[in-house]
Amino acid sequence: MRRLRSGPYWVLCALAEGEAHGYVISQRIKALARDEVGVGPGTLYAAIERLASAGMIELAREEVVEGRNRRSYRITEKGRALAAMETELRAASVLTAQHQLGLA
Amino acid sequence: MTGKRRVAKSERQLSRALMAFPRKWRRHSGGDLVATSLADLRPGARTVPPFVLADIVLAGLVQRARGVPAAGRSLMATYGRFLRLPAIGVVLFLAPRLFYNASRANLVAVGLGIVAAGCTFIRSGQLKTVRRRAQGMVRSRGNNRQQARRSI
Repeated sequence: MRRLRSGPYWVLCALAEGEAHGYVISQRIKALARDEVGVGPGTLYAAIERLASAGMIELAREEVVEGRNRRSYRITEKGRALAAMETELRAASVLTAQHQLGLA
Repeated sequence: MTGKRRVAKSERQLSRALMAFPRKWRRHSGGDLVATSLADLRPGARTVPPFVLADIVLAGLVQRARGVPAAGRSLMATYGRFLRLPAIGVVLFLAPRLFYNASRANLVAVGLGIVAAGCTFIRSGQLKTVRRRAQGMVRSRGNNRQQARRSI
């Protein structure tokens, strides 16, 4: 099974809150990851495109703002399931590490 | 005026960094990326931070390496073409050694391997692609000759 990389994972988590465009997604990621994860615009849009073509997210809206196309995306059921699975895997890793360090 | 110049400068920087992406990608998502990057700038920032530009350039180069569209392709589809030449080289390097020292069983195994590789090649549709390309080349050569005759 292929694991999700950090960028796509946080994009899915950000979109789980509701549909959003690039800037809102990056702000949500900053808030969710408490500024510990920095997803640059290049990484963000590459992740968005990969997720969209894999059917994890879909185009929700397209509008023109200040002469530029602005696309909003929403998470699909498939994407939500993948994000949930990845979260469980990450949580399991954290638990193992806590146990190893005698923190749990 | 200063603000306008500031925005123009950062926009110019972003446009330059965006050149790392393939043209098709730029047309589709370039404007969106620039808008997000500009909105993400700290208030009062004169230029785009270098790590943001580096991130855009790196993502663009990765996108170019993958081809458009990048997503949904398997690793083999993405990197297979880069592996073909080294694979042929390895086969050519190993083949004489195998044949010189091979027992009959090894030769049978190699023969079966060649047949299996041939079947895979035919089933993958590569043979048709090669034929089409060859036909295209023959046609284009014919057209070139006809054009040359006309020009004469």
